[in-house]
Amino acid sequence: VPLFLAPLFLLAAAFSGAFDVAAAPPFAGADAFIQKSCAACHNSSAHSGGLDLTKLAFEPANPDNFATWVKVHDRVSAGEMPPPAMPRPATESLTQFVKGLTDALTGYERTVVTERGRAGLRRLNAYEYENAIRDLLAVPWVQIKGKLPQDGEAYRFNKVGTALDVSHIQLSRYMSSADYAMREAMASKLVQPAPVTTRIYARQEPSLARNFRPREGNTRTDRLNFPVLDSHAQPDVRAGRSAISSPETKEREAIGRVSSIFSDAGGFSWSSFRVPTPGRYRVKVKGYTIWVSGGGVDHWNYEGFGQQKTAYLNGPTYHRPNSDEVWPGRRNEPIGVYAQSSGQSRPLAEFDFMPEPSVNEVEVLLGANETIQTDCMRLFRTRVNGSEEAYVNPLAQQDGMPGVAFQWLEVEGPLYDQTSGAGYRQMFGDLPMRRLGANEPGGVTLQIVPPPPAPGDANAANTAGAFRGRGGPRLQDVRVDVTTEHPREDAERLIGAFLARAYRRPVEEAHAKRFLALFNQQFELNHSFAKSLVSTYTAVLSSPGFLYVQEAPGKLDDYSLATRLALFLWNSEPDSELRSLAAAGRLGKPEVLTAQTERMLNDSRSRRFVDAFTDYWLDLRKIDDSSPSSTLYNDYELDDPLKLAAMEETRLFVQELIARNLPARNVIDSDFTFLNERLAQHYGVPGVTGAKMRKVTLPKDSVRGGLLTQASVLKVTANGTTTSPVIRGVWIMERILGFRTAPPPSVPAIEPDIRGAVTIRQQLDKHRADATCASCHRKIDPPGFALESFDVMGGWRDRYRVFADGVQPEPGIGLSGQPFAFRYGPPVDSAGALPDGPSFRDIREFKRLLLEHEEQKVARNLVGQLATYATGAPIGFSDRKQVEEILEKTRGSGYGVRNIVQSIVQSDLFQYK
Amino acid sequence: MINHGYTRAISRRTLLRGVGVSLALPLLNVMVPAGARAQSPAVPRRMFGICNNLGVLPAEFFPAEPGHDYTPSPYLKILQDHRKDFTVFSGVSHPNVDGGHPSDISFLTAAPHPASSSFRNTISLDQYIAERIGSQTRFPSLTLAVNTGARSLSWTGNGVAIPPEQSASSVFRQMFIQGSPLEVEAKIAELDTGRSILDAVSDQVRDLERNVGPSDRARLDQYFTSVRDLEGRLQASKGWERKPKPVVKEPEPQDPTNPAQYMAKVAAMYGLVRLAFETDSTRSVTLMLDSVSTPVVEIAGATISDGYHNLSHHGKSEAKLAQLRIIDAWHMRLLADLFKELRGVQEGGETLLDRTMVLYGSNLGDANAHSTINMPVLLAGGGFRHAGHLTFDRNQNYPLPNLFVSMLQRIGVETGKFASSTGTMSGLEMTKA
Repeated sequence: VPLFLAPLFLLAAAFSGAFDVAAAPPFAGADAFIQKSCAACHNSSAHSGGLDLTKLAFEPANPDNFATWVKVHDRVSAGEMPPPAMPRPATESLTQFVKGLTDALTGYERTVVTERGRAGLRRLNAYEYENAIRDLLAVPWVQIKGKLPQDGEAYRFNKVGTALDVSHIQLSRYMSSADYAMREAMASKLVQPAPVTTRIYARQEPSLARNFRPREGNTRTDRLNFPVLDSHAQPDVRAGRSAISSPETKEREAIGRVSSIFSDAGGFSWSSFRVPTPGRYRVKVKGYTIWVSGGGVDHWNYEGFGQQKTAYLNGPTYHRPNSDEVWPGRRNEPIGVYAQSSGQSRPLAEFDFMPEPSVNEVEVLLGANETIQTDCMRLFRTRVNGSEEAYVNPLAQQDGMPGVAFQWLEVEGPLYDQTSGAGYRQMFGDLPMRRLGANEPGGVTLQIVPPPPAPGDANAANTAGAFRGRGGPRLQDVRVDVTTEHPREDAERLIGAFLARAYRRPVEEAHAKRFLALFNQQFELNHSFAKSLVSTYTAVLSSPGFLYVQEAPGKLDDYSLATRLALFLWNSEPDSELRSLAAAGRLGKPEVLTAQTERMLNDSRSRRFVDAFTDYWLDLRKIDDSSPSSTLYNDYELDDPLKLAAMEETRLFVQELIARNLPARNVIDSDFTFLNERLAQHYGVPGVTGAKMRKVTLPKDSVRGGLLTQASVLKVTANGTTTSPVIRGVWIMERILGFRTAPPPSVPAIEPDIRGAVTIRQQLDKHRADATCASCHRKIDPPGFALESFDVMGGWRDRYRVFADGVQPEPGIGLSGQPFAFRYGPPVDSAGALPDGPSFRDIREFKRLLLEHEEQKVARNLVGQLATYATGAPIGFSDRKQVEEILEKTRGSGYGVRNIVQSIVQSDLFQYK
Repeated sequence: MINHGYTRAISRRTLLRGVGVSLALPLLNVMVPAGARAQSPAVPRRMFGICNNLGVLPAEFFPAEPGHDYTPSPYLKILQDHRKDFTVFSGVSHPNVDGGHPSDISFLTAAPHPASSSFRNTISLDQYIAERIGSQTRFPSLTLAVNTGARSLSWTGNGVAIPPEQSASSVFRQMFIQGSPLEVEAKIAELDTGRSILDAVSDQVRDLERNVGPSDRARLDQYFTSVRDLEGRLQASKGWERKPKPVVKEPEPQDPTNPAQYMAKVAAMYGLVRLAFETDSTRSVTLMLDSVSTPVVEIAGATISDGYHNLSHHGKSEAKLAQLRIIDAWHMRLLADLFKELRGVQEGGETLLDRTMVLYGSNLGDANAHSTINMPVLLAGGGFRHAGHLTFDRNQNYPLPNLFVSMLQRIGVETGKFASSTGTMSGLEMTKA
């Protein structure tokens, strides 16, 4: 029984006159059926459901017309039309009508597909372009995606040709991005320092070993750093009475903190180390957790300005740290590691400090001139609000507060491997590069990190200042050329090799000639060899042969198949194994294809697929579109660890479904998920400690499990202040159950009200009392009702939070140090009923109903979403048969997700254009 | 304190580094389609479109009475000195532009249903202008934004966003810092290289077009058109490269780094736009004030406790409304400063404001309800006989694209239609000049 497909409008047409069916019918005989069984309501005067079947011609080339006939087909074949109140047509004529219509619709669509293919020509999207350039030039650190105009979206994904437009802006950004990436590849070859291990002790790091004492205008004691030795304070060092460091204690010295990064203030960077050249590095951090007594550090504050300026002493307060009383930590704390450059920072890793010192090691990709930042992410982030001291550390207890102490940072690298310099080799083979002198014009200009000043340099003091300064040293321009004895011959050879690797199919002679001509023309203009080649490669990487996914109608050849596979499972170009299989004409063999799909899914690059797919399918890319209201939800404010863990949960969950071939029903409910301590705390799951995400078996009665109740999903379906059952309901209908909902008529939306007098539920009930609104809302609201138990960040709630002036708020302090402003309002009502009857009391019962009734729909939707993503075309009417075949093939494994991916690859949907 | 001499030296070095480093594609987003050359009008006219995508509190913005003699609303009181120089509209919106926040990208295009999955944007007012008179200035148009990720008010004819420029200092350098003759020649050589690259790729398109069906050919045509657009743009840039850049006495602006310094960023952009118009560097500018992506705004002397977007969902809470009023009033103050600055510049016997249409408004009529009807809009300057408060039906809104048609006609573009317009703006007449 289709739960959600409620009958459209039920108009008891008492009369039964004859209606002329004038328009061209979809097949001979259709008009008779329509006149007999449909036209009593769907005629020009009654016009039920906005549909007049007596006038509806069959014009399949018109997409709206085609869609209308598909709808007619679906309603009749589902038995919803004619509605129960009307006379039932004979089974035979009904079957005939459905079959006739199916054939007509399929027939038309197949003709079009044969001629054009399902998928239209498309270009690479920004994700794919970035990955392809990174892989081709072996420059995995370059950031390109953000420099390209945002891609359009069609049928949910950034994979469909009609939404992937090109403009002159797009084209110029391709050219400058390719140019930039090639210069990065050259610069990383030019600057190849020997790998070294640099250890920086916190006490030697100028940006950490400072700010020990309050200063005027900077009196926040929570933001002070302080010296720590063996988990205890060093008041003499803090006061400046003793040396900052001594050789005997050097290895055990540390710098402590009780607050986390706020805005762009300093005090967290290890700026003595700057990445000399882009590449892979091993980063180690040593430190431990501490407990700091409360009571604060006495310091002067000032009020007023000029003549009126007066000083007053800030007395002791329990929630301010006393930096002279430090004790061993009481628990572990999560430490975030970031790479920072020009004010931007990007997260690299997360691990735990313990009460005992530990060395934590990660391997990361770093860009030139970046610095490393470390921060304890759980600690509070002070935010100034009006008066300077008007905040409270929410982690403070009567006897103190948690903190962390950093001992040292060690960076080892660059770690060279076979990919080091591979981009340069791709461009110039074994030809040597040399720097050009001041009086040699031209060449390619690279930007490199200047070497640190030599000791004893007369200008060392100045240079060192510039080197250490905020933002670090400016990158230095270096001009280079590539040396060759036979420029033309070498160019021809190199361009041929570059094209063969950049293009995803054999290169046509004419194309190669054209690029060689470009090189020759540039070279004759006295542009250097290197520059002329870079210009030529820029043309290659901006040319349709690189940008467009070329497929011919009909069955794909092996090269196109390799490209589809690589774009599907790696979001990038085919690697050499796929290419050689395609060249040998073997990729299309089913067993080879299966093996390759397995290999690609097992490769770490398949994580790109999971990330990109969930970014669009589940809207994870919109996680920052709203932030929790600091009025209602300041306990979530600035809680990056929670947000990052929530996104990672969803990605790891989807990855797990694929890796272990888990049944599609896990999308609705699962007995496991992925958690770390912060997320487990958010979900109320006991026994999970530490920053590391891991697979956790959920308690039997947990509301978590499945995608619907993951914090990431609940966040992207809320606006940071309120939740709406309508928005969440539509989201689940479309993303999880695979229904398209029509956009609402232009009626005023419900105006959010957080004062607490009326709940969204009560407002909606009024809305639903209107018959026009009810026809859709009875379908889309119920899933949303079930999710009303979850707040804007996916936390469980029994009552709504409200905000009203002049009412005492709940006690408590948010992460920003500001008191709560909300109080608890009306209770949440998460009960509802599915359109055709079964009712549920809460999310648990709702999930159970879905599992009982809708498992196949969930699987069918997953097939549809994946196939659209994989092929760049929506599931058409005539594709339904193949979708059903995929379902049939995977039924045995409970619609195992890996089986679904494999079956899609084996299907004609995937193997035909 | 900023040392301007030092600042200038640095920006100069930055500029030098830029030359020859990368492909010298013009950084500003300009558009010179082949053959689009309108007659140079006797009087240069300009357009500046500003969208604050969280809008303003409607009750504080709209006046009650219609016509010239309206009692100023609290917000319009801040613009009182310029009362004769602008018209405020009520009861206007873009037909069928709905969907809440995503509708900001339709503010200057009026393309319907911007939140729908099949949405495709259409040409924006500024690009429509740039296509026709853009070749007369060094930069056919400027697309600016404050605090945005990628949201843009400027859209090309095939519905592609022009990424906004967010650094006032970078735009300033491109407009006013002159390179040495050697640098200029190097830049020109780069532009020529760019054109040679385009020649190579466009030849390839022709090859490919022969082997594909009609629908795929249309996609390749789009690529081909892009090549031609970019070629035209490089050609135009080359012409301008040889002409000396205008000299201004103002120092290069400093870009506030923190998105919380929202008002300082807006003020810097307004100052920059005034300079761009004063030096006739461009005649078409858009500025997206992405309030939605703005965190807690820093305002001297005021306590703002919540992110801008969260404040806008005030849920009728007085504490939030009070803070919104402070922010909105700052917007109005900066706008008053802009009007004053434009009025302070003389050009051919008129003020710069007389020749500049400043369109200020929002895609949201009421951000608390995500409502896209009853948009707050005002038009200042630009050679109109301003009509005070023009009122239309607040339930059945009057089409705002009609105002765009009036603006296009004022700037000298002969058209009777823009997007879903039904005519010109009723009740708004041009001055004679």
